Amino acid sequence: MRALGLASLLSLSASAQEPADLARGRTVYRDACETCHGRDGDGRGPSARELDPKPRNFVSGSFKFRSTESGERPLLDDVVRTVSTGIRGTWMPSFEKLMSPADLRAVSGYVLAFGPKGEVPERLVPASAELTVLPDSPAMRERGRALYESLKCGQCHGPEGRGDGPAASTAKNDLGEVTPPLDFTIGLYKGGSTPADVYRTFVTGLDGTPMPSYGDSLPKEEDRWALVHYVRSLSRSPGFFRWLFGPRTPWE
Amino acid sequence: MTDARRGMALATLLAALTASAEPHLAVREGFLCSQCHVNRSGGGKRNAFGANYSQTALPLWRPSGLGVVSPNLGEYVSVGADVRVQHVTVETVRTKFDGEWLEAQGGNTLRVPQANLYGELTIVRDHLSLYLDEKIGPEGASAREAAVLLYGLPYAGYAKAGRILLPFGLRLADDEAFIRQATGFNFGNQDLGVEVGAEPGPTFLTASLSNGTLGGTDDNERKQLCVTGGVRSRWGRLGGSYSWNDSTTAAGLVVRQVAGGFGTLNFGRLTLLSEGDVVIDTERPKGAPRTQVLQLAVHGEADLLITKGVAVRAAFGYHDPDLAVKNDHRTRLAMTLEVFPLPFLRVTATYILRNDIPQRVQGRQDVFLVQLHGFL
Repeated sequence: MRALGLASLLSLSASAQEPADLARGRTVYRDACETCHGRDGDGRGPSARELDPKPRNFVSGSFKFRSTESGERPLLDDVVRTVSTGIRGTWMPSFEKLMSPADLRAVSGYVLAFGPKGEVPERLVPASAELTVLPDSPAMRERGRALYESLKCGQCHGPEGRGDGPAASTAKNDLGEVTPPLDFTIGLYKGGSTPADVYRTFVTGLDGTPMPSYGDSLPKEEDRWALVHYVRSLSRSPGFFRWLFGPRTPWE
Repeated sequence: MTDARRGMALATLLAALTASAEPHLAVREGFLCSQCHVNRSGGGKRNAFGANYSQTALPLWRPSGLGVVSPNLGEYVSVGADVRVQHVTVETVRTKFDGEWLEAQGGNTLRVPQANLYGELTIVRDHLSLYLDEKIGPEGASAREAAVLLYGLPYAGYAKAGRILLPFGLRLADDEAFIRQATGFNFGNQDLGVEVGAEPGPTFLTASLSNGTLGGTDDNERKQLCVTGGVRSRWGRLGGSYSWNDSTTAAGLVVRQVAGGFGTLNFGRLTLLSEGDVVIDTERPKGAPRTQVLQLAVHGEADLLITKGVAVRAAFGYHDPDLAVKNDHRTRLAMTLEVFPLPFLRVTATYILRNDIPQRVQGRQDVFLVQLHGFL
C-alpha cells in the first residue's frame, strides 16, 4: 500500500522530469540514507541523535537547497544536486562517486515522495549550467559591499562576514536550534561554493533557517552577482592554526 | 633462555599486537563509539552509519562506480567483518644483568592477528536483536561476543546479556598498551554477564555484572562488577571506570580492583586521549598474612589528521607492575602512520620503542609492524 502511495506521489513530484525508479530508490535509501534520515524520512534515524546539525526531515517538505520559491518543494534536480555534492560543514556526504546517475535520481525521487504533494513547482533559478555569471571585478565587489551593508547582511554574518553579527547568537532554525550564520571567511558554503551556488542561495533563501530569500530585494541581475562576488571574496585561505584547529567537513 | 622460552616470549608479544577498536576516530569526530558500532561500548560490528563513514569520511580515494556498500542484507540481517594481516619485525636484544648476558631473540613473521565475522539479526526493529562477534582466527574459532541486545530504552538506554567484552576505560585499538594489558580489559578477555547503559544528555554510564572468570566456569558465588561513566561534549570526554572482581576460594581471599580515569580532547585535526589505571590485587591465603600489590598503568596518545585518509599518531605508555618496588617500571612509545587508501581498507606502519628493566629483556625488544586491515 505504502509503495503504491509513494509511487503515485512520486509521479506527481517528478511529472515534469524523468520519473525516478521508486523500488530502486527505496533500496538505495535504506543503504545510504535511512540511518540518519529515518525509515519514514522524518530525520530521526538511529544515528541522528549525535549529529549536529540534525538530518533533514523530508516529511515537512522544507528543503534548504532549492531552485524554487521559498516555501516551495524542491525539484528532483535540486535533490539530486544535494545528494551528489553533499552539504559542506555537515555530516551529509557527497554520494557522487558512490551512486550511479540512475541511483542518484532514484533515491532523490524517493526522498521527495516523503514530503507534501502537489503540482511540481516552477523553477525560480535556472540550472547552474544555464546561468550567465556576470564577471567578477573590483567594481562589482565594491557594489556588493555596499549592498551587503544596505541589506544588513552583517546583522547575522557580521560586518566582516565572520558570522559574528549582533543577531548571530539568537538565530534559530525550524527545529528551534541555534544555527550560527555562515562565517564567509571560512567559506564552508553549505549550498555549494561556486558563484552559481551562492547566487541560488541568495535568490531562493534557505528554508528552515533564518536565511531569507533576497530575490525580491535584489531584482537586478547586476546586484545579485555583485553580492555573490563580494561575499565569495571574503573567503580566506586557512593559516596553520585554522588548518589545525578550525572546522572541517569530515567527508571532504 | 631456552629456544622454547624465547619462542613463547615472542608468541606472547605477537598475540598482544592485536587491535580491534578505534576510539581516536570517535573522539576526532566528537561521537561516542555507538555512533559507528552496533556494540554500544565500542568495537566489533559497524552499523550503517559506520559503513557510510568508512566510505565517505575515511578513504583517501573513492573510486567511482563502487555503489553504496551496506552491511544490511535486507531489513533484518546485517553482517560485518574485520581481517588484519600484518608483518612484524621484532628486534633481538642482549643485555647484561648481574654479570650474566640475557638475550631475547627477535625475528620477523607474517601473521593474521584478527579474523572476525559479525552478524546481527534484528528481532524487533529498533529494540531487540541478536549479536554475534565470531573470531574465526587466529588459533581456532570462538565467540568473542554473543549477546542479546535490547536498545531504544529511555535516555538512549540499552542492555545486553551474554558473552561480552566488559566496559572499562577507553577501548584502545592496541591490546599491548599497558592500560589494556595490565588491567586485563582487552579484546582477548570476555566474560559471561549482563551490561546496561544509558546516555542521558551529556553524560554516559555503563555497568556490567559478570561471572568474573573471563568466560570460564562460574561457581555462582562471586561476580565481577564493572562501571564506567562520565561526561562528554563535542570537544571530548572525561570519565572514570571501576571494577571489583572477587575470586575468593576456599584457599583464601583473592580480590582484584581496578580504578581509572580517562579524558579525551578534540581540536579539529588534533585528537588527544589519555587514561590512567590503578590495579589493586589483594590476597590472603588461609593461614598467611594479607598481601596487596598495586600496579599503575598510564596511556597518552596524540593523533593528527594530516589530510583526509592520512593520520600520524604517537602513543606513550607507562607501567609500574608493583608500586612498592622502585625502578621496576617499563615504558612504551608507539609511532604510527595510518592511511585509509580506499573504502574499507586501512594500512598502518607502527614502530614501538619498548623499554624495561634489564632482567625482563623481552620487554626491551623494539617492534616494527605493517598491518593491512580490511573491514566492513
